[in-house]
Amino acid sequence: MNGWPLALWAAAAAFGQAPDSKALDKASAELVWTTVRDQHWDPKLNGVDWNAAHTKLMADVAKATSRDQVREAISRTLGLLGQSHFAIIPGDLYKEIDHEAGATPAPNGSAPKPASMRREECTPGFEVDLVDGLATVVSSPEGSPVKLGWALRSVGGEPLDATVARFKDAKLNERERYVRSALNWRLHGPCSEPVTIVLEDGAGASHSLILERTPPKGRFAKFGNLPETRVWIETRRLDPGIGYVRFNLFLDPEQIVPAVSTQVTSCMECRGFIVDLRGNPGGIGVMAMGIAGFFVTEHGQRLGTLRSRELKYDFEVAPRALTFDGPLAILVDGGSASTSEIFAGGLRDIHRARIFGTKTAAAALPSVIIKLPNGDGFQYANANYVSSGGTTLEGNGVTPDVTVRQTRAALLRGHDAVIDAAVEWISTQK
Amino acid sequence: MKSLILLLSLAAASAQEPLPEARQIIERFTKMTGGEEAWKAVHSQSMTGKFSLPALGMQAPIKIYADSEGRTYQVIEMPGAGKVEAGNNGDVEWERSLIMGPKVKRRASVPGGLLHLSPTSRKFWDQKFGRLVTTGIDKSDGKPCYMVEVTPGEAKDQQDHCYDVESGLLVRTAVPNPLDKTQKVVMELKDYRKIGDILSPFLMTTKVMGQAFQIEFAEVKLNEKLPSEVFETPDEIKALLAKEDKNNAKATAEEEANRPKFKRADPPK
Repeated sequence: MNGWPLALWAAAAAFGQAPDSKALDKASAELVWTTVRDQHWDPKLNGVDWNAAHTKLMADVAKATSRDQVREAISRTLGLLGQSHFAIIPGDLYKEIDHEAGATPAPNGSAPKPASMRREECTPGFEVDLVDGLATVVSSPEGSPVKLGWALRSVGGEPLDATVARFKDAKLNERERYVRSALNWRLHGPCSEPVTIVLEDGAGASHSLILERTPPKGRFAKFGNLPETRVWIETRRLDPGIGYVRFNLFLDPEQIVPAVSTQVTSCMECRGFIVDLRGNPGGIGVMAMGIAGFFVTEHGQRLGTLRSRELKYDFEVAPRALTFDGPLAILVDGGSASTSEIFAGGLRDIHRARIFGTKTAAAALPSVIIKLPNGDGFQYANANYVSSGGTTLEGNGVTPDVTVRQTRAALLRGHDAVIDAAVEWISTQK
Repeated sequence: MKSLILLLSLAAASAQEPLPEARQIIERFTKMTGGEEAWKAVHSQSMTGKFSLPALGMQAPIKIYADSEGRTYQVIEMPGAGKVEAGNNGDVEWERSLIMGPKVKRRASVPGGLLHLSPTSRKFWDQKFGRLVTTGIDKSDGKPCYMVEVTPGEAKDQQDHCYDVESGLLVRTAVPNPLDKTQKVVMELKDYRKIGDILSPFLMTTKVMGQAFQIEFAEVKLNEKLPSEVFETPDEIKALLAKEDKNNAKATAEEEANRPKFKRADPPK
């Protein structure tokens, strides 16, 4: 993308929306509407009166006085479909990427910024989730003064009670999908600014800490029009001789696939294997087949089928030369979506894996992202996906074979209740 | 009114004009792209260019190597996804990528059994297609083209080709979609340029699931010495073939072991 959308954005910020910007927004709304009309896999558009939606959308866009209002109008229209994978990605997210690519100089003529110097929010290194009704530390780097199972009480002097209470009674998969970001965003901030937090340990003692913020883990990966994202993978060996991999996205195959391959091929004699997809919202859909190829020996097995208006495509697994044939456990939760659901649901349906954790996000529609004339990205689903067992994953998700919730007691002991359940099952398999 | 009648009668005459035989159309195409002799002199082609899915913001360098025996190798270096490779050396047709893993698509039952000759060779048309029929006139890019239905002798997958009426060049193909045989992938071939003594398309565009993608060649070289390793079967594919052989041998042995064994009855005393 060249620099002109950025220049327009800057102008709009300074002087209100310029007439050209208005025209670009109108063209963007029109493109969103026609794309859904022409590309949605269901020609009846889930029963929505799309022509009426067009009238309302264009009226709302005409009245909008800011780019945010245009985005809201488009998002409301897309919301009528009641399906996942229809979203507007603000153009601002692409700004840093454009600088990084170095294809065009920054608007002020400065040189493109290297990755290490880009503006990025940093974190104190640990993550919290809602466990047993408390904002509980679920991951923390080795050597950190913050311990697993401790409850986060306040960030920057602001108590978390209200946020925790709001999510406490929400439906489980909905809560899991949003609660992590709602709780963790408070910890994020400029790398140069430390964060003051108060935590409570298992015995009820309070710990007030000032922690430096560091860049989040993982390396940057970019794929097509998807905004650049950090991708990480963790591999280790659990007792008694169980392989374990966890990765945050089905992206960056140059990092993920060799790491999974190394772990699998070094673990051929392992008692079992765990693929942990908790909090993994998906990524490149067909990568599910590539990873599944490490665990499926028989040819012709398919995870499921994609259907668009013009195409039917079976997600057939191509077995690798070396495959792990022992017990396979897949861990999921409400943050596991899309490709994670395709992977977990498909392998369970072909009786290759046992699923542990909580129900997945039920948001599994194959989608693509195109750029709109106003510089925003537009993600839209262009196909439906049915798992090989016949379940439409969108709206249904994957219900685990063994429902296990994380517990604070296990975390305080340095354990993970979901991993423990999977290890226990593997240990009973011959 | 008179002129209208004249126009109508001309149109009717034109409509009744017999369509050229499919073989004539193919022969004209061969001639217009350089002629049979020129094509016979081509022993190898190496093409470099750009593969792109413009709407999705994807662009990647592509290289294709092919020789006159029909061996092919193609590699796309996809940013963020690594290499996507496909090859056919006559004995095995394969593909591999980091995203999907390695895959053996077909194995030849006899050495070189998967070789396919260049579609610009007369021998190709004589040998590979049991049936060639001109089915009518269509339009491509607003210009009329002869539609030729091509039915391969072995594969049964019918293809539709369209040859520009004026230039005689192949401007569109529709082949069964390998992902869904009930659908066809339509590809338009454009920007024919002269390379040595032959004409070759430099731009190919197609659409899958509403998304247009294109291959745009920057350079096409004829009779260059191709890198020797490009037609070799990669080790990863060899490992898959060895595994397949082992599994087949095991299955055969199991079948043999499970076959009911009849004991000859003792002759009556």
